[in-house]
Amino acid sequence: MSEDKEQTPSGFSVAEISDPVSAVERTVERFLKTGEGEGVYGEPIEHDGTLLIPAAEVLVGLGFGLGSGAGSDVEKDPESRQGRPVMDEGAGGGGGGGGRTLSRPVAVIVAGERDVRVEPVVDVTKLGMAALTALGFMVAAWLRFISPRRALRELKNA
Amino acid sequence: MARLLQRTTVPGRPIPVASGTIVPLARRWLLRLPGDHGGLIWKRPLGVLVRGSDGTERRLAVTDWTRIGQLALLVGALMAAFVFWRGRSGGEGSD
Repeated sequence: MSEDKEQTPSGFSVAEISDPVSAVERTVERFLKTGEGEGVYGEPIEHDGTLLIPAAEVLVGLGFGLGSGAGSDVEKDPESRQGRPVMDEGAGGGGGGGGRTLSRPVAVIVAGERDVRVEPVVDVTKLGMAALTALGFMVAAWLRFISPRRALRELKNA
Repeated sequence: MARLLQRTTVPGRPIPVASGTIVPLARRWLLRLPGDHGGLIWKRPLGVLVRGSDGTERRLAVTDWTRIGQLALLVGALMAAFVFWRGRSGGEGSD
């Protein structure tokens, strides 16, 4: 009885650990309730009398799935079982889950002696990748939409 | 029953600075998967509330220029594709 209420290092009771479904559901519930504003603003850094507060965009994802099943197979095997019915039955279950956290700096809040200002952080690599992707898309669209007309013109001229 | 999609504005811990106090604000989006099988949390900085020592209060917005640039490129590429498509449609119609 007291063993069930005993807490494990993870914060769950022994009873919760013995029931994995409720343990996972509680984990998800705790995950969804926590993380209110954490991670968006970092710890303030003081530098030459100026306070710098980094600000980032945070994306956190978590998911899990569980499944179980049971089955039985009743058959008669007179030779080996002397006519007794043989019942094969079994049950099993499994589950899995995963999570991911992504973070990207967005700006730095600079608090000086007299004023507070927001300095944006521009990710040039991300913008460059987006520009290349957009360029590739535009070239593909141009080839897709322009080429048939040219082909038709060439056919008429031939 | 918890809502599938929630949006909340979360004020952070007030930080004392030389000119007063600043309160960071964050926007939090929460998407719950059906059956509480998981979820997605998207948090982004919204701005800071600057409270001066003289009692004045002003809000500084945090602008995500990287995201704006990405969206501008996406819209530009889609518009260019639309222009190419219109050009072809017009060309076919005049032939």
